[in-house]
Amino acid sequence: MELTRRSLLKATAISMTLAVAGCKKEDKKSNSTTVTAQESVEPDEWKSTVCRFCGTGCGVLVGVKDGKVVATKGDPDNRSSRGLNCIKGFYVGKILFGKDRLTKPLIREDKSKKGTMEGFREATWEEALDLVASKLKENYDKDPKSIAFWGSGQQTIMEGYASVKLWKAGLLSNNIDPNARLCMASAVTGFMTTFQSDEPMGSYRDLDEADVFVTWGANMAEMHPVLYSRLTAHKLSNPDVKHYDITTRRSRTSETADVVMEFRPQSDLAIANAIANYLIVNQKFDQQFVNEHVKFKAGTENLGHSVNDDYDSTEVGMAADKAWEISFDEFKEKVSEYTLEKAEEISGVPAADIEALAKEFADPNKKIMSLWTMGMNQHTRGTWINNLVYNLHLLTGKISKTGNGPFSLTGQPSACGTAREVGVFSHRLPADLVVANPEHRRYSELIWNLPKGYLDPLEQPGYHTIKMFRELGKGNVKFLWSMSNNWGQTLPKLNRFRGNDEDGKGVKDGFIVVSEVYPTRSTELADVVFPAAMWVEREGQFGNAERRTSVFEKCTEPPGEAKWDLWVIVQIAKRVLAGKKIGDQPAFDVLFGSIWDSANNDLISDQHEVNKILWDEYRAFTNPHESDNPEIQELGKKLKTKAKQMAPYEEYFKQHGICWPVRNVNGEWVETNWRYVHGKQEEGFDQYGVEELGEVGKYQDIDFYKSEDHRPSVFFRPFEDAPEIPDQEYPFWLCTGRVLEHWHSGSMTRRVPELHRAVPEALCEIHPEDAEAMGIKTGDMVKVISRRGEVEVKATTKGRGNPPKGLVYVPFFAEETLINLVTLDAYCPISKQPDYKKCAVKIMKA
Amino acid sequence: MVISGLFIETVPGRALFVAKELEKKNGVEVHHIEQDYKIIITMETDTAEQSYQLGESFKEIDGIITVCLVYSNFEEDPNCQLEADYI
Repeated sequence: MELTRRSLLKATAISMTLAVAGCKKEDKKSNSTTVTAQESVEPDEWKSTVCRFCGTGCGVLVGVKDGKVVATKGDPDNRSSRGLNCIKGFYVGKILFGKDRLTKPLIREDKSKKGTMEGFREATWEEALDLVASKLKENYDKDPKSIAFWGSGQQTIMEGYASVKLWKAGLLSNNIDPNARLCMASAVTGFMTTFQSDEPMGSYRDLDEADVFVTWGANMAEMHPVLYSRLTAHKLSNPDVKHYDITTRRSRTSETADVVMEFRPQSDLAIANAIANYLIVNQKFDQQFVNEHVKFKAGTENLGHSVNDDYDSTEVGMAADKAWEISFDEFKEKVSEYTLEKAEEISGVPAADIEALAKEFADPNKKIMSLWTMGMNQHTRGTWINNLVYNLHLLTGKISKTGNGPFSLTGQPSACGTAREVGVFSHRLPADLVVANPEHRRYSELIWNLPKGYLDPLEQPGYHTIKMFRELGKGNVKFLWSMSNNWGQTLPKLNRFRGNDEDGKGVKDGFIVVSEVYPTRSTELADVVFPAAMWVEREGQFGNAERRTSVFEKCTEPPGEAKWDLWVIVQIAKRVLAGKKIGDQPAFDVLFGSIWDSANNDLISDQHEVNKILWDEYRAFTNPHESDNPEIQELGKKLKTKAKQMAPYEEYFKQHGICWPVRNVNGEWVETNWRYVHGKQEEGFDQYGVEELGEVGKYQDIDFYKSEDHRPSVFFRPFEDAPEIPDQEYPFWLCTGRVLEHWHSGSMTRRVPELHRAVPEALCEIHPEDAEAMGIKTGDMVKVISRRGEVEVKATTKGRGNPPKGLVYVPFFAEETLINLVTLDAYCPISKQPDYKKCAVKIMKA
Repeated sequence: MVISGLFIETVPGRALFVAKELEKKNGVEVHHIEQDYKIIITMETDTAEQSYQLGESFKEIDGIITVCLVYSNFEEDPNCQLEADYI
């Protein structure tokens, strides 16, 4: 065979794909000659990166030749994705090249044009930085509560860490929150209330082992396709494996499920309770597991809804997260009202289907994996439904074992790594620490080299996201800086938060800074736009849904004058902290001196060095035993911060990603796939965690060492209905979400022509009978109208999803179809995460 | 010229049928079928966009469950050359 470039590339493609797919076939065309020849068509260098989109965290190798990105391939050494990428991964490289990349700082000259991209002029970095720093300082000096930072699960871990350090330690402000509040805050409060430790205990490896999969409000086939392919591969090669899809709208995921349980919005609470009740009534729970590992709790009920601005300060709002221990018998009594029949009555799901799933949980020989995303988290009882799913796994002991466990999937590449793990939340500090706990603040002071008591002003949590934007709307927050997000499109109840409503005018009057890569519906509302380096234009780190931290190498320079966000944060810190002291030292030197090049009066130019210095500092939170300071050693041990142990920075490059806690085993850094279960660390079990922080030899070798009394809580949480229910005037439920081709608000994927052409516009999915009754045909323009706003959108009765009668679905990716003008900003009273999945609307022909 | 390697999963028992349908498409070569649900193919097109469109057309084939991209070389895609000016 003639060794043309074409045939060599093809041979390369075949051999790589065979290997990744786990096929046994040797590529017969390959021999030592072709292997050598294949090398001639290889890029100069393959750089190790991780995908920019969802929370799966797929490894992507980027091929660079003569300084250009020429190829991508799945990274077989990334243990999360094992060489696979989804269709968005096909084009991840092209997101860098949209023709309208922001390349210069912009300063708004004409405030009357706010809400559009008109009225800006280009500026130098020096001018823009000076202006932003002066506005930040001016407002802070007048009223420290008037400043806010809105971060992101798309910031790199170190960018998030630097943001937290500036805001919390530099400005002593808790008014910092991430867009992750909109996507997984309920999962966080669910994990924290039940386990006192955030993030799933299991692993993507469970997808290869489970006997039963339950998707709770998760369209994995479109939103996490690489993980879904792993699920389906396991299911297809094991015909006894079953999949239950619990959903309010039939999706592509439903197509391959064995049982689809289509429920009335909000009634998942009743379904989960009915399964728990079935297990208890029929004595089908694991009695010994419950006796040794679990406690029971109840909490405040009749929470009402956070529709009004003062909800958090009402009596019930302040008591929403209160919980107390109850006995098993009390729990049994409380949950007993949720019979299968009652659950059917509330949810519309046949009792027989609920019973079938309950029997799966009841079978001690079945391994069950629950997977969920926004359907459970974007829920006005989001914390509760998370608690209720944990209940099922705790009652049956189907947790912390291979193939078993509750697993929340994330929507952003670093919702876990950045927002959750370094504390970009109004109530958190790095490494699972919280501001309200004096010992947690003291530990942070020790790591950050701050005087004792310095962080005491942080005792009260700051503004969570919705509160932050409500206060901005009312004019109480006067300075807002947002980074790596698109709130002007993705916040609910947008007429208020775009400044159109009377109680949102502060958005127009306030001083808003947006760090972005493309013009968006948020830059339209900015006073200053900082052009940012994106994805592999800088070195960074993401942390995915299975606790895997991965690094990506810098592969190319950002366009024009776009800059690394971390550089911008430090430049602002340098200006804002000027003249401020911590003890007798300049505040900037204490907080950021380690990464500042005094000779050049700039951030150290080597990004790898900057990241490494900051990583070592962050890592110190989780490795107290390595400290020379006995107080850090002692307090770290007491707070069990080693439960989140991180490895040295270079290990992440070497291993292409590692799941925390990472343990040093005879000099090798070894990840943990299943937390809390004792077994060999090298096989993925939590050997060192249980030995150091728990007790070996308990039932099923499990010790929930981070939980109070080493016992996570089974919570009683009742069914309480949604804040807005369809009625005669607004007779439809509205559910919003995503589509495969576009990621979140589409600001990146819509700049990839192929993805844009594949799904060029948002469509409103309507049940054919509803459409017919209203005289609406596929392709007609309709108005979706709520009490808060309206939007025009093209209708379809043949969409990818099939909503039931009485429910319509509209995705939120299209900036010209702002469906969030319609949605409601009521949030879970505990997690403060708003509910994008249900409000009442009417449909009219446009 | 853009060459990609893809791994396709089908409903069990449908791999042969799907492979025959895939081979009818211009630019697709089927290289391997395993366990009656795994198919390994290459796609060859002039541009990345054509690759995407070709991949999208697989949705029309009954029996395909997932399409995973493993490798893509777009060095000779003229569009990518233009777009790569920033680098």
